[in-house]
Amino acid sequence: MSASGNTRSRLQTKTSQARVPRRFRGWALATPPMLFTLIFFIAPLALLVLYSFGQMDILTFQISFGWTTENWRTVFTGIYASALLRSVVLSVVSTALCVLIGFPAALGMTRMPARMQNILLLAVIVPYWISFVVRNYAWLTLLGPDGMVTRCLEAVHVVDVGKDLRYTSTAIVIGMVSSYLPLMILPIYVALERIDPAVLDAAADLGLHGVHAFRRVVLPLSAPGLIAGVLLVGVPATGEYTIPAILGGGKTLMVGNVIRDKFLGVGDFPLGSALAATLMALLIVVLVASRKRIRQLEDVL
Amino acid sequence: MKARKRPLFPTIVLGAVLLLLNLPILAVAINSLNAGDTVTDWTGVSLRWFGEIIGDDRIRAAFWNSVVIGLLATVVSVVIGVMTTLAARLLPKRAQTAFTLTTYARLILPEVVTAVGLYLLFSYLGIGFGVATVVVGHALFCSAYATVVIQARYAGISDRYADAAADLGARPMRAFRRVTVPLLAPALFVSALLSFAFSFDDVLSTTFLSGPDTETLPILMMGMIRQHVTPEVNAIAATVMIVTLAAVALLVAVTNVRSVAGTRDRPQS
Amino acid sequence: MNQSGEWAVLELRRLRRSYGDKVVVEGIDLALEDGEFFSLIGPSGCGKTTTLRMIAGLENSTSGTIVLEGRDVTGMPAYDRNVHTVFQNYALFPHLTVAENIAFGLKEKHGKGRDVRDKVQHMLKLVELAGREHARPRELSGGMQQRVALARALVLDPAVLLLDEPLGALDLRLRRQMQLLLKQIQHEVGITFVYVTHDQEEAFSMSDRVGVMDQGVLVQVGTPRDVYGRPATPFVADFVGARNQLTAKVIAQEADTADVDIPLFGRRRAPTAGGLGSEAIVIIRPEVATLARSGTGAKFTVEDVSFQGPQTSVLVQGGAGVSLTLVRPSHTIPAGLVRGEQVVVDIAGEDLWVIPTR
Repeated sequence: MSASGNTRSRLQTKTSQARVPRRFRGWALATPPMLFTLIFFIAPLALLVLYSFGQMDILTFQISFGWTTENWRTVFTGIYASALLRSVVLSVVSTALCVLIGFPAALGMTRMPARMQNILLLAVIVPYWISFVVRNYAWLTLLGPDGMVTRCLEAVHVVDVGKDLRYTSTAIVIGMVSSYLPLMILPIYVALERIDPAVLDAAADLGLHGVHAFRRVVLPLSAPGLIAGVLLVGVPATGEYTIPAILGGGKTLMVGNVIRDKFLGVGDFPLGSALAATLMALLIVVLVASRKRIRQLEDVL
Repeated sequence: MKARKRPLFPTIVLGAVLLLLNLPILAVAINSLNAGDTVTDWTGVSLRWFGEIIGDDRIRAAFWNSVVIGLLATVVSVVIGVMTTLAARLLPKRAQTAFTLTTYARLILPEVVTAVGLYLLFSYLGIGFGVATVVVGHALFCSAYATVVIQARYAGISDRYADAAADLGARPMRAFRRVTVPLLAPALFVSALLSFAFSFDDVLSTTFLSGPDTETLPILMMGMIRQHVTPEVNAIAATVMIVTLAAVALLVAVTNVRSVAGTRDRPQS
Repeated sequence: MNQSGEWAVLELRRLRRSYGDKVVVEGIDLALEDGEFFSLIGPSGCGKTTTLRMIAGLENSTSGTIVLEGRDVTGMPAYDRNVHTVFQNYALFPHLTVAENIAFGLKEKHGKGRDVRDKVQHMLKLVELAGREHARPRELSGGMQQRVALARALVLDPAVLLLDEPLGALDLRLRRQMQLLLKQIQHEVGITFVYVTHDQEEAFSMSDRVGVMDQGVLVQVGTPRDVYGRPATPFVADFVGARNQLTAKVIAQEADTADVDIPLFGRRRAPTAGGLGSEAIVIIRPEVATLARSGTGAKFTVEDVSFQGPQTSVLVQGGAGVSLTLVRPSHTIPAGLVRGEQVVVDIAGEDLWVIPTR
């Protein structure tokens, strides 16, 4: 009847439920998601790496595994390398723009009265929910030779008259920034909101005002949000497919488009896999490098 | 941060941002009402194109596909989100970290990588591409979003209410039903909405994982854009926007947006 | 069985809680009577909340037994125990109304019906919240929320009610009101209360008995008078406000008195619990020393005079580094007493209390 001595629990967390079933329930609950992740996330990634070492026979389109590194060598040459480079560059530029634009915007949001902030949040999130395709397609119309934006820019003499801004790298960047901006603004906003106003008061009390207070107090404290934003924007942007497909029009290629062509066009799985795996490796490196900051991501998100 | 003064520069930028984000939407909305045949010539206001798209079988089929896939992906994602959140709370630290890692990995890794991987998997296993494969592809990232949203909410409520419920005599299942679920409800709703929106909207995974019979609306639109920019696309786009906005209006009516954004609830005193 | 031969409603036997190497609660032995108001006091981190949670079943014990109404409930999960808690942060379910909150546990046992409604109404009246059944927790003030939490636990007719620093978040005046209300209710309902607090005054004013904890150990259990008048250790003496502790030489020792030589005062015969070495600590409670401008006693210099209304606190400094804090009814303090004045302070042996040095 008495179970005094053997109720030792290894768990650090306090329990308000029965002792024996607790961990069992935990694992029971965890199994379906775990299986899902293993089968549909981990396994595919492993397959990617595997396939990247195979080769495709040009004549028969048969995939065989000869354990060659040829694909990897191809990836880093010629048009593939330049596509990779272009993707990284466009992604970095877009991310940087998002930071430069998004941070002040988030700051402005925090200074608004509470009710306005609700509305502003919506005004920022809602566009993000409205179809990706729709929005970027809209840019297409806005940036054409007769498009509204082009005409405005012509009016202030930023561009020549009759210029077609579509299908350029610029268009892609515009599309990416307008698509990903909410993902940058949101984490920064949340991080800024978490800053205790008392801290700012203390800073002012100690003689830090305006720009100084910003640089030495606000910026460091909002860093987790910034990092979250950069990761949420920069990483997916590198592999972006839809935006270059619409706004790049087949002329400006990013890695995403190349990969699609390789898989669904030519059927060269090994090469495509190598490309995808390169992308993955690149980003894993970035993630590992910012490992410490990712734990702070949890807080912000 | 509630400061007394409103700084000029950030406010201007904010305004520009709102313009940037919403301009395309307005452009599409306005253009969809264009009575003319081409996108650029404005010949008057008309609902003509909406009529055209409703009548088009292919468009209707694509819409229906998107809706079905969206609903399925939503259900799967929310269920995974809930299970992951609850399991993580009950398991030791190491398991929790593993869950967190895989969740964020799915959020951050470019969709092209995961989509292509799934393509390889299904090809290798000889599984035909159709609704199921697309749902899996969508659920992969939608469930990550769902998990994050639900977990954020759960973190704000869990332990003390669980303790109180148990203390008052509720067994775990009943405590879950009577306390946890009602308190999680806003998060469940939001994550469902998010999942549906992302799924409905998805191009990349769908491109790789759909079969000949599973054309979704975004894919259809992409095709139409590629070939020939027709006014019908505007109407489709406008319709999609209206549906999304309706969902958002519903969301706003039901919850407090700021708590959704994850800012910590101030403790009740 | 406790001292008076009655069956204890709650017994803790060598209850212990450790996390790896860290021992949070160190072998507690305690027996509570039915209908008793018992307070568990001690500084933050002493393990009192952990003990409470173990009684509730919200935390596992590492070893030891918990016996409730004669049954061993040590392995029993919280939801099966007839023990309920009023939490520090109230933990009222925000999505339920006041009435639904109170009825929460009832529904687990009884289901719906008029029985439930009657009990809820009765409780609302008891905690003086009649008419508020449809309010939501967020509409209520802290004091009201606390009362709902109380009602919610009491309505289930527990064998023991646990309260974890329930009044901590309230302001002073509200706290006093709630203290009275709690005492009243406990009397009316006749249930054993186990009350955890770090506020010694609060505990003393409400409890039948008090238990003092220090770093996981239950150091002393007794009535407030006992604990205050006869603290078992220097720590307890300190904690309950028996502030003046002087080290004295022990000249002779008997069963319950000791002859001690107190610096500046000389020899006194004082009560003790025994177990003294060659030196001992003499506790001079602030209210037992007398003070006058002249007369018998040791000479001291006034350091500070604090008029506090009905009483005045005087800090005096003597030779050999001895300083005392006296708290006397204001009319017994010489008028116009100022810093620097010479006064005489006297103590009577029977008012003192002697404890071992360690």
